Amino acid sequence: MKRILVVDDSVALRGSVCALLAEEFPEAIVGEAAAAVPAFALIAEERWDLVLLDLSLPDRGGVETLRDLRTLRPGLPVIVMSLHAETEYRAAIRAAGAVDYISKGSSAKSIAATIRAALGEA
Amino acid sequence: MTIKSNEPPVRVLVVEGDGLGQGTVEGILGTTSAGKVVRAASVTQARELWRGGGFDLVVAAETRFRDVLDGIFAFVGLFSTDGIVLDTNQAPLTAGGLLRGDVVGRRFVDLPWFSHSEIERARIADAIARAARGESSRFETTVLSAKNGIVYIDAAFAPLPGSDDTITRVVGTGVDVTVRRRAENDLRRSREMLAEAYRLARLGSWEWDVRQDKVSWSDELFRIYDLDPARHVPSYESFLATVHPDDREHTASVLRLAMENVSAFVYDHRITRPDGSVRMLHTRGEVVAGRDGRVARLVGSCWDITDRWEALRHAETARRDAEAARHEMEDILERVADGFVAVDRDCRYRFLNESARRVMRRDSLSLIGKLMWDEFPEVRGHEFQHACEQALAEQRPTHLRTYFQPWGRWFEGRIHPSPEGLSIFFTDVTEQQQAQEELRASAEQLRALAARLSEIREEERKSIARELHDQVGQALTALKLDLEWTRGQVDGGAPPEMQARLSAMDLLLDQTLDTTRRISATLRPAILDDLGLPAALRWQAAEFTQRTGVVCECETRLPDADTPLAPATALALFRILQEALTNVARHAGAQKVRIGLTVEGPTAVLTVADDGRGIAPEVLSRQTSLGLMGMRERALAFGGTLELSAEVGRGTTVAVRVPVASPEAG
Repeated sequence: MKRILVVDDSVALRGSVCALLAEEFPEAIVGEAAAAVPAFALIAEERWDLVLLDLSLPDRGGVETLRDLRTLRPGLPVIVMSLHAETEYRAAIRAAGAVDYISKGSSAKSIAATIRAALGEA
Repeated sequence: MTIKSNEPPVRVLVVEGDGLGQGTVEGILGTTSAGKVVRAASVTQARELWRGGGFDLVVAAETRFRDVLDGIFAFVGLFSTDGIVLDTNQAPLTAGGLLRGDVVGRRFVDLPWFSHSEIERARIADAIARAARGESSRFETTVLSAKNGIVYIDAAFAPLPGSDDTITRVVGTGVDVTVRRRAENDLRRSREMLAEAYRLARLGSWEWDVRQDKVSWSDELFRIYDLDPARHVPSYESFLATVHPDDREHTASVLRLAMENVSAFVYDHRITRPDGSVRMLHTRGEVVAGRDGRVARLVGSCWDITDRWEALRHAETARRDAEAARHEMEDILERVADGFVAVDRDCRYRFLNESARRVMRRDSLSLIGKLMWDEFPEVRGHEFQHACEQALAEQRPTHLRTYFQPWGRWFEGRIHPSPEGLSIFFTDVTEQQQAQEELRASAEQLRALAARLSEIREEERKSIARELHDQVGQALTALKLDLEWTRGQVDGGAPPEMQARLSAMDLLLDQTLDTTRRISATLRPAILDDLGLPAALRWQAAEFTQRTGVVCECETRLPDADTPLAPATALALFRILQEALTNVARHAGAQKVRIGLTVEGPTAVLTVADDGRGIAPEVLSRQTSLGLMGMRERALAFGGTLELSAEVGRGTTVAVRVPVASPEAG
């Protein structure tokens, strides 16, 4: 049973992502966090298999959060979600330790594929 | 006396006894050793015998008469008609160092007395010959005396008729007139010298015999008046007529007054010569009274002082001209708005114009001749003193703009040295200085304001971008995912119209998301905040290539993470890059752009180089385009610089240097 944590300050987006995950990964447990600090709390307390991280968080910078996550849980894969076009972001995001990058606006199928790949289920 | 034996025997009448008081003895007494001698006891007897004829000589040997003749200093000689000396008296011979024997029997003109001059010899010979023919003569001649040199002689030769009235002998006399003659010569020479002196001094003299109304002039006075002595008869009236009209009344009144007072007089007057030339004369003289106490005559001397007068007049004119020029210059200097001070080499005041006096709050009288440093001790050690000393020492003009604390004013000064001292121009530039400072402050305020505005704008942009991103973007993303879910739910079972409508919705959502993303990125590249400047530059380069088709390479020597640049500085550099790229797209016509970012010590350097058409130097020198000014202002706001280099046909390079740690952004 996979545990996926969605970190995004947009309630609407979290709802949509969660709906997508429920559709695509019915057996997975999905957690939600609206900012970096509560996300760190959840990560510190519980085991997670994957983090979907939005770069635009209200309390901390996305890249910084990503780096700290990598430090705290080096083995925990993080997929960065962003509204920005992925071209320029992908390399930088990977360099910061994310396993992959999801551009918001991508189709649900491509998002699911990316998640699946990250979970090692492909 | 010796009569030579070969000569015819001489008949001699010898007179004995004292006969001097009773008649005239014609002839010279002498003795002879030959011939017939007849003796007379008295002059009367001798005369009778003489009249009887036949005697060649009358001899009064050892008589007083002979003694007297011999004692007479004048020369008395008896000559034969052919000039042989028959006898002479003694004294002149003795005075001349001769003996009677040296003389008697010789031709008179062969005596050493006439050895000095052929002319005088000829004159003497002629006079004797004429006397032999009955013609007396008297003239002045010279003889050479062994003792006294040239001696002037008043000579006379006369015939001495015999008893039958035939001329048998010649009597010659000579009187030494040397002393008188020398005195005469001296007098003449002295007169000549005086006349010469008068002529040289242009000193003429005149005399007016008032009683006879007769005026006489010296030759030199005629020369001074340029009048001919032979044709001009001087008179008081004709004199006044020659006096310059302007001087006439004065001259006449001076003379009238002197005559009234019988006194000396002096006056200067101009005269007009016949040729119209004007001379200036200086006249001194006095009025001489007669025995009756009334004016007898006036004597005066006139000195032609024209040359001196003209020299003086020219000197005066030159002096006046110089004075006028100086006044004019001072007048101009008085009127100039600048303060002007002239000092000598010791820095003593020589001149101050009105403006200088006003600024210094002193008058000329209290400063002229005084030392600058004494009068204004507060200047000692001031920059101004150094400038003055330097200008004097190096003889080079100096310029300075300085604040003078004691007066609380700013001055701009120009110091011009000359060998005589310094000319100092100065202007109170306090207002100007204040205006400049205010302008500078105002420019700084403006720049700060512009920076603040830019900051505010960036803040607003950031805020709007975030709103778009977080609210609109997220909402659209959520909508898209939900739409996809919905489409999945109805997949296959929905009517075709609905499916088509859902597809259109999906497409519209994608487009709207794209637009939102683009607007957001334009307003505020989140990538800059998220990933730092190097990533943002790379992103911008890619975006530029995609948008314009111009190849844009980006080389950054900065780590993506941990960029040492302050966020505000990074943003400024990013905005400058955007502006530079806008210029490239608009003007350069470039094929390729290279972006470089490096850190050199404390300075971050961003370069944007294109291979476009470049910028003409005249355009480059203006550098006033708003885009460029905006870039420069941004760089300045962060303590940096912007350098634009371009060459026609060789592209344009913008180089921005900013401190890594911005003082404002910390």
